[in-house]
Amino acid sequence: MEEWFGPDGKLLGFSDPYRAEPVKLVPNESRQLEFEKNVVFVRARLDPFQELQIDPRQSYEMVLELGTIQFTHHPLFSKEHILSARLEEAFAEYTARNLMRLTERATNKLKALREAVSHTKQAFNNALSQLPEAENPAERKLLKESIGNLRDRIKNYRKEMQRTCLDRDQGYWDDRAALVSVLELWRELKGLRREQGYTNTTPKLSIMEIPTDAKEDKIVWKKAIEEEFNDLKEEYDETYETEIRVYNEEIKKFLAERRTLKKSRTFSTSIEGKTTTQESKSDSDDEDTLRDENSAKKPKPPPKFDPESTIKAIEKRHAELRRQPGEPILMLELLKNASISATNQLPTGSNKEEQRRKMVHKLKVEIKIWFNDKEVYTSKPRSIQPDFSGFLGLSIPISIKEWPECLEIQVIDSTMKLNVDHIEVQLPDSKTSIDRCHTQRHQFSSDDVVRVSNSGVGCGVPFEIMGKDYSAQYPRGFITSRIGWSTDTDGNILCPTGLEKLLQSAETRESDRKLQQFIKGKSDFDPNDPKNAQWLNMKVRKPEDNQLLEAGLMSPQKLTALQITEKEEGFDFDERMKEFEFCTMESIEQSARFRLLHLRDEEVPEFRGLKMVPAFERDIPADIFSQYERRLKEDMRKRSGTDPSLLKPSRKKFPDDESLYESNRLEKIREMRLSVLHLFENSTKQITFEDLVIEEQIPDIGTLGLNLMALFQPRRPLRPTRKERKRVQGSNLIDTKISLIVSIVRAFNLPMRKDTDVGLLTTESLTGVQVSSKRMERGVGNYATVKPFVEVWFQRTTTRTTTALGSNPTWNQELQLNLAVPNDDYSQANLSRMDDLVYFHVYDEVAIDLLEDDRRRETDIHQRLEKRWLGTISIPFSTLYTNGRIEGTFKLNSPPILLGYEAQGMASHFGPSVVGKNSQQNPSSAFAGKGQGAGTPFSNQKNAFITIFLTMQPSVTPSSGFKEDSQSGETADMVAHVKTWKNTHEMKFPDRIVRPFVMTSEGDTILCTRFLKPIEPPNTLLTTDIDLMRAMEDMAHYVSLFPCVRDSTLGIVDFSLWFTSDTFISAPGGGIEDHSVLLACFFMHLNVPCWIVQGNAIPDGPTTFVVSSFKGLGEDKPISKQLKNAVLIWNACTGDYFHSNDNFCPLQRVWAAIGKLNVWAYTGEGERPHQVDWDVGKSKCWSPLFPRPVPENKIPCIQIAATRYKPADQVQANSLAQRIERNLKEVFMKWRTTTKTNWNRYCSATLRRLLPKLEESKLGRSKGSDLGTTAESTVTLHSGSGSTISLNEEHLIELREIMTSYQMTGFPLQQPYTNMECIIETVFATGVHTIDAPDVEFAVAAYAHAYPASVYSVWVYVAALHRRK
Amino acid sequence: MMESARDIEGNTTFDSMMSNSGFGGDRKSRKDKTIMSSSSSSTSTSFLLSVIGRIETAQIFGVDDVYCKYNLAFGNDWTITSGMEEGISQITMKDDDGNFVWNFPVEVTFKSSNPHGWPQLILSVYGSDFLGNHVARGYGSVHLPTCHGSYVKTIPLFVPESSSFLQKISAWLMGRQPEFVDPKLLAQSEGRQVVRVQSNGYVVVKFEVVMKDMKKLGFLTSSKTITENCE
Repeated sequence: MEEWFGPDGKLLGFSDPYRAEPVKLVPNESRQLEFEKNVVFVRARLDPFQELQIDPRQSYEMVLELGTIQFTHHPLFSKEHILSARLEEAFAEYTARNLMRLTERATNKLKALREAVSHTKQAFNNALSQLPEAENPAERKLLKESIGNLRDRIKNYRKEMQRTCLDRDQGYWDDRAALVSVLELWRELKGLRREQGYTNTTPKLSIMEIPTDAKEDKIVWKKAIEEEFNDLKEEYDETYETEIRVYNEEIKKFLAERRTLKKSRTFSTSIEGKTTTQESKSDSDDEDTLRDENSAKKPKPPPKFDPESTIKAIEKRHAELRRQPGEPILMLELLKNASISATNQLPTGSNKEEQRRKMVHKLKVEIKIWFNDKEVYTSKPRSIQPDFSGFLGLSIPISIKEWPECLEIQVIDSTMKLNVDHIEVQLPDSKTSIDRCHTQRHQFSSDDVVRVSNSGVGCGVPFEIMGKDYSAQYPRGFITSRIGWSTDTDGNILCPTGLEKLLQSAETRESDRKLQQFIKGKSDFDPNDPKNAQWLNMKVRKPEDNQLLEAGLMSPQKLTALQITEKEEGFDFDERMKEFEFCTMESIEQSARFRLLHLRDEEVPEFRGLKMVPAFERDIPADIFSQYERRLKEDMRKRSGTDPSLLKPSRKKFPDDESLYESNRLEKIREMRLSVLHLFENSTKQITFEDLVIEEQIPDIGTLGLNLMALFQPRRPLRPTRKERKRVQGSNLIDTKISLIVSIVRAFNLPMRKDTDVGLLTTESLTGVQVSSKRMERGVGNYATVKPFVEVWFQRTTTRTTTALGSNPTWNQELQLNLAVPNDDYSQANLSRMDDLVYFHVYDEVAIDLLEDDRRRETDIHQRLEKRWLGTISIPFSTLYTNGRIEGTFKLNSPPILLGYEAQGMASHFGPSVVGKNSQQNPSSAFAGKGQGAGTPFSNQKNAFITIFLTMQPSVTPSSGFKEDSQSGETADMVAHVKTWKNTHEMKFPDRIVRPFVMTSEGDTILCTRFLKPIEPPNTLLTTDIDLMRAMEDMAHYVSLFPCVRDSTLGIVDFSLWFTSDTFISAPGGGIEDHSVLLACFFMHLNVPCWIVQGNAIPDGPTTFVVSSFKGLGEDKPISKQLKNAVLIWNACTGDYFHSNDNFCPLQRVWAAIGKLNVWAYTGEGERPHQVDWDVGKSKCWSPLFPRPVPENKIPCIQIAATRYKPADQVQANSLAQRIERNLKEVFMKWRTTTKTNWNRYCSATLRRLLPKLEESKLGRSKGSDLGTTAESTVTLHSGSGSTISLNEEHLIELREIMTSYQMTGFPLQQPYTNMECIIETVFATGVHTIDAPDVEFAVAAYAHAYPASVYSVWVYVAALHRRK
Repeated sequence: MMESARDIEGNTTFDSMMSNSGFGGDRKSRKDKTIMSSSSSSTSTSFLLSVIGRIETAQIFGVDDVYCKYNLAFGNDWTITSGMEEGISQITMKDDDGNFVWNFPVEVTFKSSNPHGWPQLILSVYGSDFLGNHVARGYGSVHLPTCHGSYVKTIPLFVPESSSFLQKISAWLMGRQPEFVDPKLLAQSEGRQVVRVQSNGYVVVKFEVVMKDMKKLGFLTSSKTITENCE
């Protein structure tokens, strides 16, 4: 007590139970160990029941019928019971033997064999006798063969006879033994009954003696012996012949040997000299010894047949085994008619027996049925007869609601409380109804030890009967039952389907279990024992394997692992790992559910975000993959369509072969780039800090300053600037809609509407008066102001502005378009992958007067509005997405010729000298040079421009994941050098993105200068007679014809992926950079100094252009004077080029220039091209990567030296053109759903003629000699005289016949061939099909010009014709 | 009431998906694709997990008043049949021992066909700083127990650190501590390597878990003996 309480009487303790340092309680280690010991590895396996289906609406019923129960041992068995049970057992064996009659069968067989032998022998002898008679050698041969066969047969028969003889003898023996044991037991039983003075059991053996005739028996007996003797003798005779032959041969050999030996010996002695007789004597002695030596080796003749001893042996055997002659045959019969002595008649002193009987009387059994380890039925106690049998007569229907796993019967001895094992009942197969099944016996047993005080023998206790010891007995017994499915009224079996599978798996489980038990039972498992071969179904090769095997024998689990390694490779860890496998890979792959989960995980679009994938395969709709598989098949078709046709263009591919043209070229390029991208999948998916954590930006001086400035700025500035909005992560927008905000400000320099007066034109041209000069002077032509409006077209939804007036309209209008994202997935990956285009179409709204009656003009207006296409710009959505917003003045892509319109001369900023540059230099190309409605920069006073602003609401930030540091193809020194150079530059100009490293198709990052190297353009482009400028234009045009894929549509945003030019050409096609590289390489071949410029352009954003300069070129080069100092900026994707002074140059900011062996970062102030000093040597404006020139071999080029081009194939191009035209006509009619489409075939044909010339003009390859013969001779004439006839007018002349009867609006469109859809889309965008006048006619013509490396320039001429009144 | 309504919705969306399972299909209906077999009502094709719990107390250092927000993050094969997916507690002041007590009940029942994506409880604790700005005081997450029974879970909390020292000062000045873009990110393992966090106290949550039909789908979440004892 004192220890607990302090002196103040309070409980002792800490003032504060809180402890500063942590305390760990000691874990209960012994328990832990115990737990670990008890852990047993159980192999995982699929539960077969999961696979199966039970229909809950259906009722399934199984019936178990129990017949009788019989104990073969019970604690209350008296000794007599034991004996009588044994007797019964022995008797059962006896009767079984009698029924089988094995002995008799063997005897009969012997008889049959004997006959067969005699027959064959006869045949054999016959054959032998015939042998000498036969003369023909063939016959002889046949006979010999048959003799051999017969001999073999006899031999076989003999063997069989010996065996049967043994069987028969064994049979005799067993028969006798069975009989004897029955008789013995019966004697014992009788003795016991007599001794105890009462009877407990019913069995009674009756023995009948059937008397036999001794004489007859003796005859049979003798005969049998005789027969057997004969058999043996014959057999001996047969074998003797062969044996004696063998013996003779041997003896001959032996004698010969001896003779030679002797000879040699005599010879040797004769040489040694005939000396003394003693010697000769010794010789003879020697000979004797020799004989003695050899006699040991001398073969013995086969033993003689000894008939007496043989017959004695046979007789002896018969006497032992067979019934003696005259001995009566015993017939046994076990009757159950012994009367059991009544309890009151029991002799005195047998109280124990009385007690036992009382107990037996009380004995009752219950039956329990266990279904799937659950108790489902308990019977009423049934009494048991004194003979320990009972009639149950139960019929138990079991209605099934879950899968039957196992069914068990349990017998419960309610009085003795015996612990009886469950009896497992085999489940019936699905076809067994209860009416059809058979009764089965099921054994049951128990291990209980029961001692009884009465006369019963108990269980598990040894006992003795009449001085004989008996080993302990355990309760045993059997129960008869039958089981089957019940049937409904229609006779259908009420069994769930799919049961077979279950039963099978149950079987395998059973065998598994048996194996386990077997191994457990045999700890001294001997692997060398052939009996164990089935358990050790494997080859043991190496000694260490043996060890493992031994180790396996120690623990049963390991052995099962060994068991599994059935493969011959022996033993490795992979095999051992199998143990832990769930199931085979095949079954996983076949599983629809697994496949579904797998596809969902891979984010396959059809299954992305799929919810609640069912837990069971059966609940998965069978057709869930059909859509996906169809798509895969289509993709495969597309892909296979691409490859062979593009790699092997053969003459056999005629226009009907659709796959050639259907092949989507973009698809292939995309695939190539995606395959590279796959290399970096992980790094592109990298999550940055900004993705996870919102953090306030540090205000720097600039923003602080701006904030302060804002206080002093005017509230409503005259020229408001757009503020940068806060950007949102795409993934955060789940439910919000993204809309596209388009603000269209103004356009200028739109063409004028002009209904061409054909009459005037033709007369002019015929008279030879200069048309244009005249017109300029007089202002000829009925010009009208255009009424333009802009239609914004995105994802096939359109909005439009109001109609403005004049060639320089101002709209200042904001339009909104909804963004539809595939699958409603606003993730960054998905958004950046969208490659829809935003189209801005400028149309002229033409009001066509329909008023018939002039008198009503004052009051009525009856007009139809028609829209006529003037030009388009298209901005890829991906550009908008990466840039956030797009703002600027863009050149409108208008067709070179716009029938019914005339480009209006804007106040020329550039002076007439520039305009006329080509005509002065090269008269042959003057005609074409003049006609450039688009394309060349110096005629851009004829181009129309539009100012727009484009953004998204809310503004979504693109992902920025990848940061150029993957495996590098450069040396570490180089990488370090470039990085420091880049970093110093970026410190100064954080906005200027300089990327000296690019990625190759192998995934290496290398210096981009390695891509630059002179590459020879195709021969057709390289004619010497044309001037340099034209050659460059041609090359730019050629390069622009390669299909273009934007990087950002592949999710490549932060790094550039460059392909070598040969890949680019063979594809054909690639990204913007690939175009630039090829163009630059071509220019290098022409020895024109050029660079690839990295910069920011509108609308592309960060991109590359090619810049060429003629400075420093030798005087020998044929260049015009104006171009001497000009720096030209080439857009390799469109083929356009601009003067560096051009205000409308799309390149807005210059960041870096990439030359052949160096990279220069721009360090000047003004970033606009016209502000840049294009001399890269000036260190003031350009900071070079390598200040000193690097030897060329240090950074070798990766381009392949000789690039080969496939020759141009105009035949294919023509067939392509035909297909395009046909397709266009088809879709055109489809678009015009409401009205009939009339085609003006004459016009189409004319247009078709015109198109090749357009291409020629584009290429600057008009050949005067060709033109001379055609209708244009007049035009050539004029051009030759220096007149300025535009291409437009040339077309008018060509079309004048049509023009006289029709009012015509139309235009040609040019584009590179990528695929059919692109062409169709461009035509659709012009909206010509929307013209709905009742008498309108249409004309469509297509032309494709083939260029080397299977690129095509496609021209489509679309026109609408209205009949003139 | 709520349960049945959700079920029906699930079925219809799946059917509609199967009927027009192309890209051009109705976008609305494809928003959440669900597979549910029509016979789902009769046999169990999914298991249920019902969690009743309380966000009881918290110990967070250096703060005076906090409130707690909980979210549940779970995989695609899970749906909430009843209960609220997220909740927000009252603001509580600490007692003398520095404990915050909310006793905020969480009761939710899930239905699922796949244990993958087992639901997690995500706690985000916010409190106001001396300027009155609400700043993140701690984030923590825990898987719901996978076994029935009663549990007490102590969830450690952490807050993201500023990316640099300068940022830290600026965050302190501006009263805008860094916080996670989406607390559900805590349920993922992806991208955690880029964040530095500071450990900051813990929250005690009690759960009572009841499950149904787990075994019918072939899943054993507890050893057999326990199951039998409980049955």
